[in-house]
Amino acid sequence: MFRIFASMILLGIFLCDAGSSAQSLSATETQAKVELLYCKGVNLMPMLLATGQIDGYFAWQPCLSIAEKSGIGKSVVPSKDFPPGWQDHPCCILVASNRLLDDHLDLVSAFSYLNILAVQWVRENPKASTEIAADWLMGSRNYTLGESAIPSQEVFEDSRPTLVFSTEPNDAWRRSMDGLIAQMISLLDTSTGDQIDFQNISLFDPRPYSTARAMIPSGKIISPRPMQQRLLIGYLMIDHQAPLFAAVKNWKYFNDRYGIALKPQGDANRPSMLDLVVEGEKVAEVELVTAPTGQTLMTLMNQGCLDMAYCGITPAIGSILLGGEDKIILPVQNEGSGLVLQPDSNVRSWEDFVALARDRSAKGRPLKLGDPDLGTITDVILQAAFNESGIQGVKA
Amino acid sequence: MNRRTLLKLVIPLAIIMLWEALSIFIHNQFILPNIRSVLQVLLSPGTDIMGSGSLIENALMSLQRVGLGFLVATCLAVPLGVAMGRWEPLKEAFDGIVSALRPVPPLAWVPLALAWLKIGLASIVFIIALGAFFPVLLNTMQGVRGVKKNWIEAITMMGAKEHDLMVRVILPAAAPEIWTGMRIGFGIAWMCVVAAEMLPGTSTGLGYLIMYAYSWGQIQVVMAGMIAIGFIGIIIDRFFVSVERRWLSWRGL
Amino acid sequence: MERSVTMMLQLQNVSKEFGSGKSRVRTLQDINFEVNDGEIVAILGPSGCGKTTLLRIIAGLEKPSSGDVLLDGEKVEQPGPQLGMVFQEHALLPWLSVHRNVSVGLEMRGIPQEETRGRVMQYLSMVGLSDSAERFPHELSGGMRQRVAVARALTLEPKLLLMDEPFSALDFQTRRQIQQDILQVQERTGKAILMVTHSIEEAIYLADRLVLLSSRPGMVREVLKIDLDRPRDRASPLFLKSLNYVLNCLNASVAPESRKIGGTGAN
Repeated sequence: MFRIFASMILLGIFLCDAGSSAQSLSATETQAKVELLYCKGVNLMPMLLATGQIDGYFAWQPCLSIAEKSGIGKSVVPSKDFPPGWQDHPCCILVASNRLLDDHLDLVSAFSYLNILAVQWVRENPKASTEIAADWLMGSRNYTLGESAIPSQEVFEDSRPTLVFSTEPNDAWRRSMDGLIAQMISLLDTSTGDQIDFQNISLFDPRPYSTARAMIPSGKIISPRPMQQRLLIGYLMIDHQAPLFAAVKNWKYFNDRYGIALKPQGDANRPSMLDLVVEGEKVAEVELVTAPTGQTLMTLMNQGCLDMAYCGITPAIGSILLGGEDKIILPVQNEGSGLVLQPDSNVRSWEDFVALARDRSAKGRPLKLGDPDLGTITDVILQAAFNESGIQGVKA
Repeated sequence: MNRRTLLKLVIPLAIIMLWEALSIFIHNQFILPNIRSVLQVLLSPGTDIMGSGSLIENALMSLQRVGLGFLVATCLAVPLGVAMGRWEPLKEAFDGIVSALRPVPPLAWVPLALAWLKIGLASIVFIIALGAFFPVLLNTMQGVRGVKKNWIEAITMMGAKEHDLMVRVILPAAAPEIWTGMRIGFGIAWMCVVAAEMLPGTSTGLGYLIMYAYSWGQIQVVMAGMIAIGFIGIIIDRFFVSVERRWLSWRGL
Repeated sequence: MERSVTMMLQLQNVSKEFGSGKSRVRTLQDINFEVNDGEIVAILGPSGCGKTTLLRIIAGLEKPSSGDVLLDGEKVEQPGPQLGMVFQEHALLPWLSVHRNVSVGLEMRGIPQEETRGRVMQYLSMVGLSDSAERFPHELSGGMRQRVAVARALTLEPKLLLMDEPFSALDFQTRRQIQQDILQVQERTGKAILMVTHSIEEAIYLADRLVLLSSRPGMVREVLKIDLDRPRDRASPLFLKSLNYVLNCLNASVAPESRKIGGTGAN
């Protein structure tokens, strides 16, 4: 009887020990170690930072501005400044399923046209677009963090300058894209399953974009063939998706000026049922669907539940590389991620951060930073930056 | 192959055939992958899966958490159960709160656990310990109360003190019930850990692996993970049963 | 020839009540009798007369509401090894072998293994079960189990052996056999035995004296001395006459007094 008890106690000690050494210090002596806590998204991060469970976090907007405005943290390095340099790196993009492209290419082209216009409007009207975003996402209510309440309008105004709204895949964008694709291939390359020939997978369909571009000078839209079934479009509840919100809320403007609009069917603050109208004719009934992450949106699209989605670039790349039958159509928003540290931090640049990381690692108290999850855009960029800087990220 | 074995195989075979047929019909690996892809994952359990570790690594993490939680629960529940079974006033005192807390599913405690114990091993172990605690407590109590009065009196007649009674009569007599409680408790703990790992704060374990694979649409990994979970659950249950058969089968005699 | 008689167990005005207030029930009232060294005494009475309660009070498993139980002049207040008990249902611990069951008491007292082994085998052979030492209770018949129980009770060498309807759960043949064995054991060890039984025939066969209890409340109706020579013949006229007498006693309401059956002479 006592033998059983004694062996249980020994087992307990063994288990505890195994646990503490499971995340073993596999960092080589010359590399600085940083612990990454996967938070399954960015929502928990401000709270974790405020309660001292992490020293800082990597996230996308509006999480950086939330920290700044509430005073719990300081946004110290934007993602474009992460090595080796990620200027104009893609963040949110529009993806469409192969099915939709095969059957309704003209509709996708018209929709792309609307997106280009919406992005342009958002670029030219920063204040108005943040108002719309605040209204859509938060109903203009406040963000609450513990006991402090921050007006959402302030958060989005702070976030806005860090977001680059552009539909143009310029050189910097393409370079970043190649870097991201390479990172994703090495992440997803696993020996289970059949060997995927990553190099020969086509990620883009340039047709809608070029067709849409061609419509801009003349302003004449090629009316698409109407779609009988409902068009399902997924999106994320973050301010990166401002162009979509603008297109819906300002539908009258786009209708009158350009002849194309996403007209809400009801009066809801955050409409989900809309009509896509071209030259006064309804060409499709649209339903907007939200999801918590970009990966979820891609999986839903692969399962046939969505036709298009606004999601993060790396979930899209990953999904298509793993066999998803979709294509990237056009960029919508770039950059917009970064590193947040505590409010009294002296870090001003990535080099400062590396020095801090080395220092803490050498002292045996490595930095513990929040990470949205393996494979998110923020995560992929920071891992690349770590590689460049001789930092090793280990799971917390 | 005798008849009994044949009977046992009929339904699993039918399911496998149905699965394969459906996967061909649906023809979408993101909805129902074919059996071969699931088997490929299962047959290479030591290979890393998209950067989140291998099946075996994650299974070990989950097992470690369950082991700890279960140990904590048992170390608390068995002594308390024995005390409550032996002394009626103690049972009366605790009855109310035990009955109130028991129906609350362990997962409902997650927000509080995260708030009080922070993200990390402690909060997960807390959830699992909660899951295992009540079956072990109740079965222990039952076992102690069910000890035949004659046994206790026979040993009392020999001049036994409470301590002797506890060691020589009550614990051995209640052992089968206690062991059953532990078996049930472990089963519940195993279910809790997988679900608890799906929530934020963990980056290892079978539950985490399943959610991560799902996020990339790798349904075959999801299914392989589920099969692994079921398999481990069965093995551990078999262990409990075999110990009972070997040491504790004097029960019905 | 009369042996010299030393009194060992004495009950003085033992009474027992259960419940309180309106639902108070008096189960036993003013029980007085003795058990002498080397005697076999049987307690008889109708069902519900409290005989088992009485035995439990003597054992120390329950407390009397008033009165005292004295063993060699000292009060019995709790169970202890000076009294051995055999229960109606075996009460052997099923997870222990026969040997371990018998040796439990010795182990608790810290007696070294060598000596324990010796004593256990001694008493097991006395009840005829020395080859069953490594078997388990569930492998034994009812009669064998009761024998083990007797061996267990004797191993601590108590002053008095108490038995609570020890053979009622056994079949007729086994019962007869074990009654013989008890007499043999008693002869060899010279132990005093106090047993509660339902069976008048068994009582007359085994006992030197009978204590007859009435019921509601349980009181001593009569104490009878059985002066028949052993081995007793169940078919003998004297035996049958005694049987009838006791039967009538238990049915009739007679003032308590001490009587003797068989032979002549005063008590």
